[in-house]
Amino acid sequence: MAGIREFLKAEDIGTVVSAIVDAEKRTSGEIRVRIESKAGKDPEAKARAAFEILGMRRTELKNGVLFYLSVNDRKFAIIGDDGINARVPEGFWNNVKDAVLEQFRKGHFAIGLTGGISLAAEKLSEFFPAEREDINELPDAVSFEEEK
Amino acid sequence: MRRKSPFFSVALVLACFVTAGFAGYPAPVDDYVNDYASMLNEADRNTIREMLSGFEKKTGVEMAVVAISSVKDYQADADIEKFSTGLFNAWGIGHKEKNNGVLMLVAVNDRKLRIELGAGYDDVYNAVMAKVIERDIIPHFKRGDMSRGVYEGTRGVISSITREVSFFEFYWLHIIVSVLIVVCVLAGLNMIKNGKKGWGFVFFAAAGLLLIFLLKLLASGKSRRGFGGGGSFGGGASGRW
Repeated sequence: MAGIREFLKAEDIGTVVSAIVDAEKRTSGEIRVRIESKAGKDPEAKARAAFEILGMRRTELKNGVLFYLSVNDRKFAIIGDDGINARVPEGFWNNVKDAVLEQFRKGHFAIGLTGGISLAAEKLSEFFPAEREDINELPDAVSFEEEK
Repeated sequence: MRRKSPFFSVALVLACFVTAGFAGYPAPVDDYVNDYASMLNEADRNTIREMLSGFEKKTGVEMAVVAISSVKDYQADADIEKFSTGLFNAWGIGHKEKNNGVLMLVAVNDRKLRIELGAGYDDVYNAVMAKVIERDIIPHFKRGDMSRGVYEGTRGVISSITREVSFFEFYWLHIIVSVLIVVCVLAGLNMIKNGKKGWGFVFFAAAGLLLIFLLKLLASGKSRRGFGGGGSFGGGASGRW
């Protein structure tokens, strides 16, 4: 599959991971990034599977957020766990989505992701403020499809 | 009477179906929770039943929880995979056209369980169910808390198959296609003006096809009795504790 690694270069992965680390200082929400090559015949199913396989549901407050990208289909989704969906208003992710898409359309994938992550954290902090003894419940590494 | 009427034959066949329909399988006594092993406590059974009924009302997905003591009680040579596929199809769990049924089968004395999915589920859900079994169910079963395991497992299944995912396209395809449509229409009009009627229609046809393509692109951005007749090809996941 062409481009899944080229999509985010090694040095860019570093900036995305540090964006996640910074973001999680501001909110108890747990953010992960998943990059897949192709969404297949049921893209929603594949995104849900990624959410499950990465263990996104294993947070105390059910406040995991997954930035899911399907490189060859040029699709992306922001997927929140039940705790977030129960608290936030409709269209909560809209401006995060817009910020990400604006950069993605210019081909600035790392900038789009880091900007989106930091905006997501800012918005989440209203509902899930950082706790003093916050535990990093999920890994911060970017997950690529070939690695389970 | 030597020749039986066709009506009589049909009635006879139907009668056989009704009486022998669940041969080798238990007959359902409830639409959601059939606990033949008395594994769940009363309170949890009711909670799970309410969860499943609410789930069906909200999403149209039929999910049944079944607990037996052993598959051997029903079929001498069956394993849990074969038994659960058979039970799923015998009962017809899930909406017939959508095939979106789910069966959670626990064989208490066999110490095995399976989450069987209707044929309508994409294969990727098999791995999802394996995770639900491993993370939500098995830890409770190992402690002997069957009710809690089934409860958490049911929540896990519901959450993982209905999680809201909205995709956003980050390609300019929509815009490129829209521009092409306009160009084709203008080119077609121009050709007709210049007397090249044939070419004009070719461009109009191209514009029409592109319009259909665009509409498709845009479109992609977005109390019962008994069971609904759904089937399974054996998709799902199994586990043991």
